[in-house]
Formats: sequence, structure tokens, C-alpha cells
Amino acid sequence: MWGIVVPMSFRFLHLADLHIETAFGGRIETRERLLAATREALQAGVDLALDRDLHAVLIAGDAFDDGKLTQAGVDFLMDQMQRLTRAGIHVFYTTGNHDPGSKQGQAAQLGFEDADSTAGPEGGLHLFRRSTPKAVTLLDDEGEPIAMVVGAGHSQAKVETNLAAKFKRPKGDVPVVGILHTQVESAAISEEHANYAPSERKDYENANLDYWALGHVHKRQQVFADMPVWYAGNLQGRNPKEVGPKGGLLVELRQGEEAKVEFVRLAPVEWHHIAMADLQGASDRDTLLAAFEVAGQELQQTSPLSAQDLCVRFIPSGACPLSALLRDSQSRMQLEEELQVETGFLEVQIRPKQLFTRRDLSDLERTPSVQLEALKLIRTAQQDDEVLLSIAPALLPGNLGQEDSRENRIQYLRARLEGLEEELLQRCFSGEAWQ
Amino acid sequence: MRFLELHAENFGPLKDLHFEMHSDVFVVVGHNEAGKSSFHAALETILYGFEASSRDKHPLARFRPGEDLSLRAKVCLDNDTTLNVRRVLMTQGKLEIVDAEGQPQHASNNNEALPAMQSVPRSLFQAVYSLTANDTDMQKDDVRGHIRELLLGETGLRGARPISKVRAEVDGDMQALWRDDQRGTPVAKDLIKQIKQAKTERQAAKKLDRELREAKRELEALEPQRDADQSLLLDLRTQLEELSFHREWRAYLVKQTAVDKIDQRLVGCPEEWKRESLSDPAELEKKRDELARQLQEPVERLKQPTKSLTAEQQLCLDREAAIETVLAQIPDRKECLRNRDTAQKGLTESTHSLTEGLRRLGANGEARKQLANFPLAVLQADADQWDADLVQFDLESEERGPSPLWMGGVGVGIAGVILTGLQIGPLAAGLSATVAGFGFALACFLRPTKPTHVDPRPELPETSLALLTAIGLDEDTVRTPQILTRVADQLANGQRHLAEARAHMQAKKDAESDLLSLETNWSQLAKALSTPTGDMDALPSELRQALKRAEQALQEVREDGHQRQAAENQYKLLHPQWESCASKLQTAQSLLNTAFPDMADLTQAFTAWTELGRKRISAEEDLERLQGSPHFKEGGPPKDGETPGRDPQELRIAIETLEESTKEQSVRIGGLKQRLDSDKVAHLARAEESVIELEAKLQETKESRDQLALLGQVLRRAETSYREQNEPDVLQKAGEYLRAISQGRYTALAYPADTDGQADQGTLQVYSVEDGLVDVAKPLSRGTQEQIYLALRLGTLDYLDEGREKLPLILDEALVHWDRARRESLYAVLTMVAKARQVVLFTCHESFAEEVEEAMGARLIQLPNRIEPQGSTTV
Repeated sequence: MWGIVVPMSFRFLHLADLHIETAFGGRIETRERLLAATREALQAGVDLALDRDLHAVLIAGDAFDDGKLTQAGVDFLMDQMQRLTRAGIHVFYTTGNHDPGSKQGQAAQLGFEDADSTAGPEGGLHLFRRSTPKAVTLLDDEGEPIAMVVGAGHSQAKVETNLAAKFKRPKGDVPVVGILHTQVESAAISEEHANYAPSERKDYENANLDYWALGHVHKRQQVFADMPVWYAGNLQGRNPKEVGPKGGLLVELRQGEEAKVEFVRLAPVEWHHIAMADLQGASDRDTLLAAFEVAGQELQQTSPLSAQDLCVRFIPSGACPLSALLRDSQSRMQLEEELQVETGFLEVQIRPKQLFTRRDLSDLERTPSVQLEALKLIRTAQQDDEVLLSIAPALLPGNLGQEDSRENRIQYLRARLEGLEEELLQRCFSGEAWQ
Repeated sequence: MRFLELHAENFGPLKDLHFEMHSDVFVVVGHNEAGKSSFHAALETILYGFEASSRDKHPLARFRPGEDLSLRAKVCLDNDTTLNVRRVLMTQGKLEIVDAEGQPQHASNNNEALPAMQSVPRSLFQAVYSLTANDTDMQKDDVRGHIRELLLGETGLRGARPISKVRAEVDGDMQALWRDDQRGTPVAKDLIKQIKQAKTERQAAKKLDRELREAKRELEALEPQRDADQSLLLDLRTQLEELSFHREWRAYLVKQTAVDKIDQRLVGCPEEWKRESLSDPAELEKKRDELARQLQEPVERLKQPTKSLTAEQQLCLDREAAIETVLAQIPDRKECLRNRDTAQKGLTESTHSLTEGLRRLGANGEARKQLANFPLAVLQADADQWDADLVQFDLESEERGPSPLWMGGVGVGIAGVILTGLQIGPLAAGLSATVAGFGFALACFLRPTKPTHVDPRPELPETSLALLTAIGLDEDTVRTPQILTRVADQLANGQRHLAEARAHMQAKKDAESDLLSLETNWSQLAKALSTPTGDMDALPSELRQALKRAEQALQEVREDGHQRQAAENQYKLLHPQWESCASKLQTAQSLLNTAFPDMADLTQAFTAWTELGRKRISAEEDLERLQGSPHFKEGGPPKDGETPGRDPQELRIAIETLEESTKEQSVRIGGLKQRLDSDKVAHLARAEESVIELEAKLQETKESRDQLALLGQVLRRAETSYREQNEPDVLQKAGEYLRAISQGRYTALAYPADTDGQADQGTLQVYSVEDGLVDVAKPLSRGTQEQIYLALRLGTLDYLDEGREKLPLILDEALVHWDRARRESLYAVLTMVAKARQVVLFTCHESFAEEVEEAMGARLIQLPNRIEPQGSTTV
């Protein structure tokens, strides 16, 4: 309509933690698939950006692991970047703890240009590798600003300073996007990540940007419900901890409006957990296997991916007559193999958690015996650190190389106590004891 | 608990046997195979059930296959409750318990222990309450194990596994996971090896990646260098080419000048001299002469006259078909001749027959003329009528019989026959007599006596008379109708002969006509062919000969024609060649003389001409090539004296050097590209993660091992604790028994843990008054060891009695190694033991049984030597 100018939107794809060419979990075949999947996911992201004719792609750090990226990986990454720039799409890339921006690091040698004050209209590769934030104004074909991107990078592998605190909103009437690889203290599962470049809420409040494209925590989330501070999550789940659909965030920003954020699924392979707490009725192996299969089928029915692109970790817990079978690594491995064949999943893992055989211990508890003494001792040790330390073996090869402290030792022993009661009962009694 | 009664309904060798057991002590005595062990097993079975779960699996079922095993017993519990127990083993055990009043207490279809036995598992009963001779050898591991179990309170928790075994397994599992020495193949060791391998692979992957990156850098540096060198190389080659161009142009000019000089001499010569390719005159001459020689033969041949056929021969050939027809008609002619002759013969015969017949008839010549149409029917009719008239006449007349002269005729006839038959006299006479005689007789009959009447005898009818007269027959000869008939017949024959003659005549005429026609054709042909026609028989042969000759002549004519044609062809082929050759020779001679006037030898001149030709072609090619050169296109032909300054040799050397280096560069670049292309897969991450995964597995293995180590510690601590709490009681009680059994020689028992605090590795020790604390296993006699073992058992029994049924003590040949003195001291102890529990001894020695009976007041149970299934036997 006359007199009303609709502000132009700034559309971009927020990616983070690509970790190209890395894979941690599963069998060799799974890892091979995951290695390829990291590339496929990035390619899918680039395809999406081209298809949607975006203005930019933001990569918030850890694009790769510096020590693991090969020349082939470099070539692939740059091919994808050049696909974007050839189409006029900018790439803003900030370094993280795995891909620090030092001159010796690969990030600085890829072919990105250190971010300048302006960018455009042709597509370009802009690198934020220094800890001091830099603002880049994105220009359209007429040379008019569309948006600003402010970024700072990890110059070293272990940055422990708060980089977010240095961000300030630059002057201008266009949307401003911050890009940073950081550990927000209150973010979910942040405790699973190393505390590099820590930041907190007030940093984001002070900066007052229209959108924060963060990387480092692999779980996709809006960190603060009332602020557009987002982790895109890693691009492709690479181990059993990184579950569920993975990808990036498609963001549309208009000046004066709330950011529209949409998750786009890019990862071709997904990890999933299936908790199984009701195995009391699984009295034989076939029944147990069938129970797992059924649970697996339920997952497959709800997933858009085919079975061969799903990695599943079954987590049986609670009472199960076959807990001994599941606790034994050999028999568990056989079960995993059979299940993998039956379900067609790319990877199947079974990790019992606090699984036990239901037993009536009344007879034991009233009969003086070595077994009873042992049971009492375990229960006492669970409560009493001194007792625990007193029964600790002199040699603990699993704790060698760790911090030599009482607390560490206790923590280690306490972890070994988990499931020890079950182990004792399983070894000291044959099955007829509980019939 | 005590046994009061035992009734073995069917239990191995024990069949329908009843045993009263109201006694604190009793001795079961029997020879070998009498059933002592079965009795022992029966006691245990009553308490705990059958050891096999089904009848067919029980070792005693073999005694009476198919029959159920069955036992009954009356037991008295410590609370004075009496129970009747029945055990039956069918497909599975069956238990019935009734109280003393017969009230059912318990029934079960399972092979389960008595409820009162729940606190003393079978294994415990066997380990502690039931002692056999084998159980007393303390050197045996299982006995030592028993001791440990006794002391460690394997108190019979249901399903409990021996702690020693559990400990051993834990230790074994630990060792299987991780060891701190280099022995064995624990999982950790293999993982460490794999980690090492993986790290090596990781290093290799890193190295590979470094090499690939270096290769890429080198490639990026090498390619521009190579391109620059190639550009320089191109420039040098261009210079060299220019030099070559100039040189070649000069060479071209030299050639062209030589050619032009000769061409100048040939100005004004016929154009065809130049167009034709010149051949060597010597060769041409030779060829010409050869051709001339080859032409001689066809020429000579063509000079010879042409052969041809004569007119007769030609005609003969033309009439070949006719001749063939003649030849084919030879049989036809013969046929005609035969037919003619046959017809002639037939005609003659027919005519003769006719003539003869008429003559015999007496007809005149007129008869032949009229014969054909003679009305024979009239004669026949007249004859019939005449005959009829005569018959009538004869009837009307008196007829006499034949003349008696007929007999005379017959007689003459017979005589003639005889004469003829016997060949007497001339044959003719005999025949004549025969014929005459019989003829006369016949005549007599035929000519009967005339009647004497007025009317004249009928005679030949007038019609026939006229007819016969007309043909000259005398009426007098036809006197009877028969004769008339005969005449008619003869005339009929004559007509037949006449017809035959006419037919033969016609056939003859036909045959002669055919023959004539055929021979006329032959004659005409022969005449046409000038062949003598006199002898028709020989004519075909002559015609055949003539034809043959004509054919032969024709063959010769054809052959001659072929030869002539061949000669002509050859001539036509060779003569132009000869002409051409001669012409070329002339041309060559002329041309060469013109081009090289100073060369008398044409061969030499020809050589020079050939050389000139090559030069011409070469010059043309050179010109074409040089005109196509870029140098020519740019600057046209080089001017005289113009030569590029650079030394070509230097250029060549420079070019070679540069080619060498660019080739090496290209090879190197190719190798680098191939390397980069072939190693695209990133192995680095894979190698890295293998290391991480293996290290995680190793850590997991260690943690599992540590968990087991912790468990091991827990078990040790638990054992120690348990022993500290319970063991002293057992040892103390056992020591008291030992003192009594050994009559004070051994006074106490101890079971210290080993120096490492390993409870299960300790050694039982005994305190000897003489020697102090001594290891039981080593220096003591077997008998002493058994005493100690028994004391230990008795001590354990007392310990276990708390809160449990006081079960019988069973000693099955357990005292076989005890001497009399030891046994005596034991009896006192057992008597004391018997106050608390029933004591059952088994022996095969009756003397021992009597001894026990006397010493302990034991009740004797004598097992029959052979058990017969004859109803119930109470013992």
C-alpha cells in the first residue's frame, strides 16, 4: 500500500557443531555411516539454503575437530561453502573450542576471510576467529543494509573467558544477530560439555540483540524463554547421548518483530533411547527379544526415517528374571546382534540400568551365612565411606591416572558399588534359590 | 528326629522288608550286595525324596523295571510328633505324610523333602550327617572342601553356592579381565594391544593426511611452474621450427632449380611425354621383345585355314533326328516283315484248305465264287426236312433190319484192328480193313431194306439240288440228308477258310503297306544323304555311320573354332601391349635423349630421370608443407640470405632439457593427482575414534575388574566376619569330641587363615599333647585324621542342631580303618551322641556289629543275604 514500507526480512539458517568427519558411537559400520552422515547433513543444509534462497548461513563453531579434519574434509567443506557463495549466500562462521581460530588451526586456513565491516551483495565467507566481537553489515543488491551479524570466535582451544559479555548492539535499524560458541550456564545438559567461553543470562540481556545463534551445547533449545537465545544443537547425532532429530534452525527476522524460528531436520541418521521398565514377564530369552522388537517397531512406526538410519539404545531397568543375561556382556552382545538383524536398525545397544532379579531375601536375611555378611557389608559401604574405603582393593587399575584424592577414590568406589549387591546375589545363589 | 520303622515295599534289593528301628543306636549288618547302601539311601529318601526325579532314571528301578519304587517309614520328630511317611516314585515322586492317628499331614506329587527338613538341605545332610569310608580321607580335596564348608557355615541356604567356588570364580573373572602381570590373556591385555594398534593406525592416518596436504601444496606449486616451462618450451620450439623452415626452404630451392633446368630442355616436347610416367627403356625393350615372342604363336595359329563341315555332313547333322528315327524304326520294319510273312502263310494255308475242301466236295470253280454268300441255312433246312421225310417213309415202309451182312463188316473191322495192333502185315492193310469193315457194317445199318411201297423214297430237295448243281456238285453224291448236312458243313468250313484267307490277305496288305511306307522314308533319307539304298537291312547302319562321321567332323570344326578364338583373344591382348610398349620405348628414348643429351647410355639417363622425378615430387611436397607452415603464412617465403640468428643446436639442447623437466613435472603432477584422488576417504577420524572407543572399553574393563575386586574383598571380609562369629563354637565342640575320641591325646582344633588372611586357604590344625599344634593333613596317620574329621563333624552337628531337627548320624563303614582301641573310645562318644540323636552304623562285618551291640547296646538289623519277594519280612 502506498506509504507503508514492509521491512525486509533477514532469512538465514543457524547451524552449529557440525563436527564434520567425526563419529563416536557404535560399531565400526555405524561409525562409517555417521562419518558420511555428517557430510550429508551439511549438504542437506546447503541444499535447503539454496532452495529457500536465504541471505546467509551461520555456523556457530565446531564445524570440525581440528585434529581430525583431513584434506578431503577440507575440500568437501569448502565445496559446500562455495555452492552457497556462488548463489549469493553469505556464510558467517565463528570458531569454537574444537576448531579454534589460531593461525596454525585449520579454520584460519580454509579460505574464509576475516570478517569485515560490510558484506555483500555477492556471497562471501566471513570468519570470526578473534575474541573481540566484530559487526558485519549485510548489504543487498542496492547496497542497502539488510541485517548485521556480530560475532566473536575462540582463538584458542580452551577459552575460559566470557566472550558474550563483550557483545554490544551496534547502531542501526536492521536486525542484529549475534553468533557465538559458548557455554551458557543454565542451558540444558550444559554440564555434559566443557565449560569453555562461559556466559550467563545478563550478558544476553545487556547485549539486547534480535537473535543469538549459539553453538557448543549439542541439545537444541531456546535457552531463555523470554529471549531469542538459541542453540541449534549439533547437526548430526554421533553417539547415543545425542538423541532425536538433528539439524538446524531456519530463522526469519524482521526489524521490530519477534524472530520466527523453525527447526529443520537435516541429519540422515538419528539416535534414540527406548526405556523398558516392564520386563518382569520376560522369563525366557525369546520373550525378552520379542519385547525389544516390539518396542523397536513402535519407534520405527513413528519415525520418518527408515530402520537402517536409526540407532537405538534400549535401556532396560527394574526387575527382570533375565537380568543376569543382560548384565553379561557376551550374552548381551549376542542379543544386540540378533536384535539388530531383526529390526534392521543401523545400531542396537542394550544398556541395562539398575536391572535386577526380583528376589525374596527373607530366608537369607534370617540365616547367618557368609552371604548375609557380604550383603550387609555392601549395604553398609553404600552408606559409610569409611567402610567403603576399608574394603577397597589396593589396586584399582580403573582409577589409575585419575586425581589422587580421597574424594575421587570414594566417587570411583561408589560407582563400583552400583549393582554390586545384584552381582553378589547372582554369583552366590543358583536360580533355584529364588524359586 | 528318629526313625521308628522303615518298610521297604520296593526299593532295589529291599523288597517287602520291614525294619523296626526303635533304638538310639542300631547297626545294619549284611554281606556285600545285601542292600546296606540301599538301606542307607532309603533313610535319606524318606527324609528328602528320591534322588532321581522319575522312576526310570532311578538307579534302583533296574531291579524291577516298570514297578514303582515305594517306601514307608514312621519317624518321630524332636517335638515327639510321630509321622507316617510314604514315598512312591512313579513318573515323579509322591509324598504322603500322615500323623500317628492316620490323619493326613501333607501330600504332594513332588519329590520334595519333609517339611521338617527344610532347614537342613540334602547337601548338608550328606556333608555332615552321613559319613562313609570315602569321606574320611582328608587328603582328598573334596574332603578338605567339606571341612572348609563346615567351618565356613555352608548352612544350607537354598540354592547357595559354595563361597569358595564363588570366590574362585570372582578371582578368575578378574584375572580374565585384567592382570597386573604379563601372564595369561586377559581382556585388558588384548584391548591394550588393540589400542596400540589403533594408535599406530592413527599415526599412520595423520601421516597420510599430512602427506596428502603436502601433496596438495606441492601440486599447487608445481602446476604453475610446469605451465610456465611448457610455455617456454613452446617458444623455443617455435624458434627451432623457424630455423628449420629456413633450412628446408633452401633445400627446396635447390631441388626446384634442378628440376627447372631439365624442364627447360623439355620445353616444346609433346605434353604426353611429361604426362606419361617414364619407364626404364631397357625394361621396355625387354618387355617389347617378350611380347613379340608371345605374339608369334597366335599369329601362326590364325594363319591356318578354318575347318568346316561338308554339305553332306551338315545335312547329316541336320537330319540327325530323321536318322535317329530310322534307327528307332528297325524293330518296326522287322515287325512288318514278320506280319507280312505271317499273313502270307495264313493266306496260303487258308486258300489251300479252301481249295482242298472244295475239291473234296467236288465243287467246281463256281463254288468259290458263290461260297461267300452260299445259303447254307437252306441246305440245312432241306436236310432236316429230307431226314424227317425219310423217317416217315421208313416208318411207313416195312423196315427190315439191317442186312445180316453187317456182322461180316464188323468182323472185317475187328480183323483190321488186330492186324494193326499186332503189326501184322502192312499198316495200310490193317487200317483199310478196319475202316472198310466198320464202314460196311455201318452202311448196313444205315441202309435198311427198302420197303415195298409205291411211293418213291424222298430224295434231295429241289432247292438244295439246284444250289448244289450250281456249284458243280453231283446230285448223286448227296443221297442222304446226312450227306447234305455234311456238304453244308463242308461248305461252311469252306466259307470259314475263305474268310480267313481274306483276313490274311488284308493283313498281308497292311504289313506290306507299312513296310513300304517305312522303307520309302528310309530310302528317301538315304537318297538325300547319298547313302546307297539297295540293302534296306544295312541302311540304318550306314546312316548311323554317316551320322557319326558328321558329328566327329562337327567336333573338329568346333575345336578348330575354339583354338582360333583363343588365338584371336591372345592377339588382341598382346598386340596392344606390344604397341604400347614400343611406343613407350620410343617416347622414353626420345625424352631421355632430349633431357640428357650428354648421356649416351639410356639406362643412366633413365636413372637421372627417376631421380629428377623424385626431386620434383619432393620439391612439391616441400613447397606444400612449407607453404602450410605458420612461418610462411606470417612472412611468406624467406628472402634470400635471411637466416634466424640462434644456433639450432643450442635450441635443441635447450628444448630437450626443458622437455625432460616438463615431462618429469607432468609425471609428478599426475602422481600427485592420482594420490589425492585415490585417498579421498578420511581415515583420520575413524582411527581417532577407534582409539577413543578402545580406551573406553579398556576403562570399562578395568572398572568391571575393579567391581569384581571389590566384590572379592567383600566376600573375604564377610568370610572372616562369619568365621569370627561362628567358627570358634564349632572348633570348640569338635575339640571336645576329639579329646574324648583320642582319649586325651589330641585336645583342640584350630583353623587359622593363611598369612594373607585368606580364610579358605587355611589349614586345619590339631593340638597334640606330644607335638603341639600340628597340621592335620601332613604328618598324622589316616586313623588319626579320621578321628579328627569325625570330631569335626560331631562338633558341627551340635552347632547345627540349634533351631533344627536333630537328624540321625549315619556311619557307613566309616570305621574300617579304626583299630579296636580307637573304636572303643569312639563307642563311648557315640553313646553320648546317641542321647541327642539316633546313630546308625552300617557294616558288612558281623564281628563289628556284635561289638557295637555289646558296647553301645545297639539294636542289630541283619539284612537277608538274598532278598526274595515272598511277602513281607520283618527284620
